[in-house]
Amino acid sequence: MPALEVRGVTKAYGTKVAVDAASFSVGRGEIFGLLGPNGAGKTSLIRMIMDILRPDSGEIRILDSAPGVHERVGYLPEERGLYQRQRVGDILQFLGELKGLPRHVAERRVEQYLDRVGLLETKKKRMRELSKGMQQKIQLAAVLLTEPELMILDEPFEGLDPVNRVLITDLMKEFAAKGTTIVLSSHRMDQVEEMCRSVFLIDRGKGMLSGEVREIKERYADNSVFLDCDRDVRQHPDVARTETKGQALKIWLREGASPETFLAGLLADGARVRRYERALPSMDEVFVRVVKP
Amino acid sequence: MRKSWIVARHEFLVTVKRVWFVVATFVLPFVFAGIGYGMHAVGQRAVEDSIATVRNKPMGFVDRWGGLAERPGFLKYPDEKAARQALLAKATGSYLVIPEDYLRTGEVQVTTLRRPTLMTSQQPPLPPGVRDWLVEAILKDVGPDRIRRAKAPLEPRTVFLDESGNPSQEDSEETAKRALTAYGFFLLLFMSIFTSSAYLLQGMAEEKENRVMEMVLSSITPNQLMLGKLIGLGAAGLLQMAVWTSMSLVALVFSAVALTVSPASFFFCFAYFLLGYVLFGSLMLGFGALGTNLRESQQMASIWSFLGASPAMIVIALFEAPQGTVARIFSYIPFTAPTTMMFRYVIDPKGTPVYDIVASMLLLVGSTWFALRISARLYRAGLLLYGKRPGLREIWRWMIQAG
Repeated sequence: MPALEVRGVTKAYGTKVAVDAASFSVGRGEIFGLLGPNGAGKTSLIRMIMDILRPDSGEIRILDSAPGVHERVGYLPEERGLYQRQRVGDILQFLGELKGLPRHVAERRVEQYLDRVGLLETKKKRMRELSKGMQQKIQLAAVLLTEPELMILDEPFEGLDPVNRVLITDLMKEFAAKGTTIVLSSHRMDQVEEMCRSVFLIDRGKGMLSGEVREIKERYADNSVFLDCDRDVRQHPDVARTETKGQALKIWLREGASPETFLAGLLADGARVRRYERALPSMDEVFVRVVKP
Repeated sequence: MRKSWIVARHEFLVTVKRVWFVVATFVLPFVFAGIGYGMHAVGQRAVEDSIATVRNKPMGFVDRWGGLAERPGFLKYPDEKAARQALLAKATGSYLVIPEDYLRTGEVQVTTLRRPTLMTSQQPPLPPGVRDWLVEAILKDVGPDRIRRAKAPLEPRTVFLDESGNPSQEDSEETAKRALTAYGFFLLLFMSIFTSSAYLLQGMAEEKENRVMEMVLSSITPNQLMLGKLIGLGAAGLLQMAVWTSMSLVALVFSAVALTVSPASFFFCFAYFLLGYVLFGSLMLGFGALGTNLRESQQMASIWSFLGASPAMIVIALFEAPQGTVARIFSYIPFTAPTTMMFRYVIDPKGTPVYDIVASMLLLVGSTWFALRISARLYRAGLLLYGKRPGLREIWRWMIQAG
């Protein structure tokens, strides 16, 4: 049974359709990317998953769909903040208890997860005394301390420096390794590429792309390879055009030529090949191609 | 309900730990009492000082009528010119000119250097004893008993009858005490309802400004959140009211003023606080949620504060005729019922018809239920509204849309 299943979900605000028959599913323990440009309908979709908004039609199934299932789902919204005048420990305790943690468990977890994000010393401080980056980490601690089975993180790296990005990435990987399913919504395609096995790309409310990252990149590959060898292949009959990329040469093969036969030909000619690799598009490139107006 | 209790506990603890709440609850009453007493004392002193410029000096007089006998403290002058020179030389504080036709007109000219002020303009600049002196001059040939009665012709002792024609137990002093107590309850209720509602509005606006709402709404429904806030801050309001009431009682005991209020008044105060608070609190939350920041939320909710404060404009009518038409109309309007009904009952517990109390309570309960439903819809719709203020048509659509 998938951790999250979205089937034909539609939501309109007046005449504007924010989400149009979106469908995808997320396997248990998977890190899943929910992608889309600004205003694509990601936030509406996430709010419907979190039961903050009701879909006009379609179905959303979360975990085992048991009553109170949303207590087992952690949510870090894009529009986020915490009570500025209250103390960090009190806020986390409150949010933990709201997610169904007994008081004594919440008390223990507050310290445990403040320690995990390296901010245990801020427990008694007021939120407004902390930097923006620290507040971001406290918000993530609020999600983690409930040890949810499903986490929905909307732009979790926004406003974080590289050191803290690594810290959060490691925490997410650690939770995923323990079986937590993570839905990650982010503009940072490098992060999505690094962490997610599958993605769903939404644009103007419609699902544009869905599937495993590797398979999508294969689908959008343009018959090009990276080559580093001791021969000049620019005049080779199979080569359409080339571009130097560091030590290697990126080669776009002519239509009909396959990377396998091209490599076989080179080796048969006695060329010394140091690097030969299918040039798959980055998720950034796929994203731009799919959402290009 | 469990989640509403968590919110209620959180809101209560956060509110009562706030410095401003502690100051408003424990310090502000003393500050207000001090300011009130100080203003009264300073005003009284200013009036006394103003009057003293006249009273502490002899008074001159010019007797053109010819009936006034010489009297210590009064200096006789042959004409007005001499009297004026003495006044300008500060030898006298004022002077009287008694005209020839005094007995026919009763007109007497009083001249002084004192400037008229708001507080003293209605008090002629006369030293004590002037009236008695004139009465004695008018009744020169009359016996001392008649002169004494002419000086004080009326010592009223009013007998009040109740509806059945029997003498009432009340007297003027008790009525005055009741009026003061009723005004005290009026202020207490008004302050408690609107302080608590203001906390609700402020907290909600802060949550919106801090963008914390979406995180909270992932764990609790808007209705549960609204209920929790109403309970938590209502409890804080009750605590504040209890402290203020206790302080008032202690002050009354120390001032040895007998309390002229029945235990039922406290029950009604509690009931009207709860209903009034839920009515105004839910409306402020619902309409306040439509604002994108605290200032806008306050603007959106200000209409309810204005309606709630409106009985203050008819407080004189309430003092004079607690069972009059105006007072009864205000008792049936849900927004003005809590304070008006409370006032009427405390000032005149026996004269307030039971059906007025029951009808006003029923109307208030019905309106509160209706306000809760409307406000819950607006609250739900407005909570995640950032940066865009809705139009009137949009607000109306949210109000009538169910679910």
